[in-house]
Amino acid sequence: MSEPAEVGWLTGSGSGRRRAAGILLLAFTLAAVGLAAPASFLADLVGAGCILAIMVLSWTVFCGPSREISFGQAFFVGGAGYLAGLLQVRCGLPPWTALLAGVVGGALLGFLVAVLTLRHRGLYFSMVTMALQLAAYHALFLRSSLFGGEEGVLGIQTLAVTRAGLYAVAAAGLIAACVAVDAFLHSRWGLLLGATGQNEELAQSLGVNVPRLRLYGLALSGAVAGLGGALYVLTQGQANAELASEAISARIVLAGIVGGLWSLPGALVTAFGLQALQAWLFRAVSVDALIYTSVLLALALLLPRGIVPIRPHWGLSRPGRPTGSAVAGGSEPAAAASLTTGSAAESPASQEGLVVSGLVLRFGGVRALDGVSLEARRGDAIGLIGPNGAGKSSLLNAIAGNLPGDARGATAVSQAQEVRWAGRSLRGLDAAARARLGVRKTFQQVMSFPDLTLAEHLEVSRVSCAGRAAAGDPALARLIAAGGGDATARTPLGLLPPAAARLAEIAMAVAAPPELLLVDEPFAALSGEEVEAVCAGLETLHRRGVTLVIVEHRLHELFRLVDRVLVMDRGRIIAVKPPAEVLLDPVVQQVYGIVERGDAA
Amino acid sequence: MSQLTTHLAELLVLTLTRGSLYALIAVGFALVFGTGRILNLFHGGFFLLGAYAAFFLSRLPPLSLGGAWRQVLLTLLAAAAVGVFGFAYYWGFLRRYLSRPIHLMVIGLASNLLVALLFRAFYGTRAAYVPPIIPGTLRIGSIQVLGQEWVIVLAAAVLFPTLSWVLRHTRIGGAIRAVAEDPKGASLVGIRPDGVLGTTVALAAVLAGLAGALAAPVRVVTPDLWTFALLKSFTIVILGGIGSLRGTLLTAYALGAVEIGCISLFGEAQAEFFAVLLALAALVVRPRGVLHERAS
Repeated sequence: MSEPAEVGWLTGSGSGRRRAAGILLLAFTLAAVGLAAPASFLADLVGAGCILAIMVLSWTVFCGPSREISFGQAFFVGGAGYLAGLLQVRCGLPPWTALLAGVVGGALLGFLVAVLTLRHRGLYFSMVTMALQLAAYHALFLRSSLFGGEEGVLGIQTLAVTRAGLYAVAAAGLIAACVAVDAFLHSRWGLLLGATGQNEELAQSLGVNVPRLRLYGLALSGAVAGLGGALYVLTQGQANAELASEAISARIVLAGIVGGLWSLPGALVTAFGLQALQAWLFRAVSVDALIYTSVLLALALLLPRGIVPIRPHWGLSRPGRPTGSAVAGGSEPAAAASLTTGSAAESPASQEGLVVSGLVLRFGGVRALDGVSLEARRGDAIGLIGPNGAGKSSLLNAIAGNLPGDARGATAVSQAQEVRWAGRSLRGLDAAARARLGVRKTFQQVMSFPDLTLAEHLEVSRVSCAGRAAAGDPALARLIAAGGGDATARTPLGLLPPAAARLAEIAMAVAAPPELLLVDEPFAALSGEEVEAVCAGLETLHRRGVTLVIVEHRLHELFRLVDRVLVMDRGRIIAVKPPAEVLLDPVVQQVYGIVERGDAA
Repeated sequence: MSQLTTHLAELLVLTLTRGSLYALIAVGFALVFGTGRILNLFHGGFFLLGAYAAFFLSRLPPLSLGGAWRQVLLTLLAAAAVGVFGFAYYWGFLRRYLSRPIHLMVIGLASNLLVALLFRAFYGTRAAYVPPIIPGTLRIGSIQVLGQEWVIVLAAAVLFPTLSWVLRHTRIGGAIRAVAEDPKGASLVGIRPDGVLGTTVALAAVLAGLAGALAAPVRVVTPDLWTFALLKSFTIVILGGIGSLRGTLLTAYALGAVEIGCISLFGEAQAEFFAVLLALAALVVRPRGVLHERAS
């Protein structure tokens, strides 16, 4: 497997070894500066740059993968800084304990933001973080006796006495932050957060617990920012209101964006560059900050993807994952034969399949589902047909647990909803929880994580259900995905044709334990050849023992895939027949308007 | 009776003057947010530019002679100048980033800093004085209300009914409402959403510039004034939601009332904090605004 040369000189991408080397290189450089020019202007400058870099990293670690833009980094920095400073001065805590308290405090603030922004995305997330920063800033002026108002908290004991010591502390802090951030970005949490940032609905349908993921990301972001804020306060010996101001937030956001959203080296280069620029300008004349901000703004405008627009690869270049190599040699029949009912051979209780009884779903006055009942045994393949608006997609959504409406404010009232899978009621579970139980759905519109490669898609699916006893089937997943292209290719899926994304979607559904797959119009917008590829993928799944419920208008292909066909009309199931007989049913003929033609003939 | 009545009257007057200024500041911000679903954080900069435009104009020879009508003229000129600037800012700058609303926020914020730094670099941080349109004060009960503050109230009283009429009964008003409702739908019936948004941004700039020019004589004009305007616009839009002029105005005056109440009970710092906290709570619980309703 030949890989293109990478710019992995500093942890941006590439293997773990190369990234570790990058961090080591950084550590050596910082140490060299400290030893060669102790207590010099250069060392002070680099030390200040380290602290700014920590703050920028704290932004990158969450905002990079999740694609949110936090305007509230000063909330973490200021909050943790003041906490550390006050604890030191008022409670006489040793500086190192105060530093630790600052980090923990920052993590707690991150936790708070995650809780407050459970449902806030994009613009609204940015607005909440901005409001938090403003609230914190104004809170500082509430009790001047405690926070010191404009003056701030003075007389804080510093972490070290000498300039060289302070430099060493800042440099060590940066290395610690780099290790933590790099580990997170390249962990499965980083991968999943990245996937969620690109397509939250799809990630959820794969079983990703999005709130928990954001909680981890924000807590880490808060902790790293807290480290930066506390370090600043405990090296400067004072905390002032500036630390919690929008100017700090703005500087961090600008540097984060300029640095490139995903990229650790980008963030570092930008932070140090800015610090140097600032130092140089402030020594020069008074037009200082003007040029500083212009440069930042110009960079943000000219380089919307940052100066080092690299994103991490999640160690997928590592060969030799046990199931991975089996695929290369195995042809389809052989693989399928070896894959007898893996997950189905569990306890008898879980032998029970899908049971839907008396499902009613109302949108306002419309009854989308009007008392639907159906049963499917494990391994069945059921087709669902009917005219537009019959309730086919609503039925799939009700089973998968992603009912539209809640988000948009339309009232979707489901009554007497009873959906059971494998002997378990799905009542009250959201789409992600159902996905973790093996109930997965593909979408009518092709969905993908546009910036991830096929292999990364499969990896997302595999790790999103980690913790379950039964392993997924990467071999099968790759086999299916291979119909749409090379599973090891490094092309982001957003650049491939829709069929590849469709196959990837189906493949993702089985990269984790496949049990029940709800397929909504798999052939929509595909060409004839592509339909064949998708068909083959679904057939493989069927042989593998996955239960399938397929909604499709292309009856010819559908009938080849399924054992039974359910016909729906106006929210009810009006007929259940084998594929060969279904169109001969008089009720079905009436619904489809075949009756007249039949009579004429 | 008299003491309580007088006190209430005082609070009412203070609310009216404060609320009118807030309404003038925030209405453009809300209009742009409602029309383009973008937060133009440079709105604070528009306000700042209005204040400084009034200041620089008031030092130009023909306008520097003083007198109410000259002051009115320079206020209007300042507003118009900011409007022209807003128009250019949109077409030269904002429009390219419409598809990235969050990038747009960053750019707006940075532009604010830049403009503030420009004034700081070329004029310094010393307060800039602009003479009021009506000098002196008017006494109500025990409080002194500046003549200029009455001008602000008057401006709001004239402007908002006019604006409401424009939005309801003119072609451009209809276009703005259509784009606010559904940009795609509007473009299907021959309205250019980005063009309409440009007009809205220019209108917002005029209003914010006017607010800045009117507020300049009663506020200390420093380069940091943009934070005040942006904070108030932001708070009001969050509390009031988007899509209705009435909602924004109501919120502006309500915020004025809450702040005045808070100030009389606790103090200025507490009022500022409480206003932000209110906005935060609203944002978390009802991100689309407490008074959210569809434009109709």
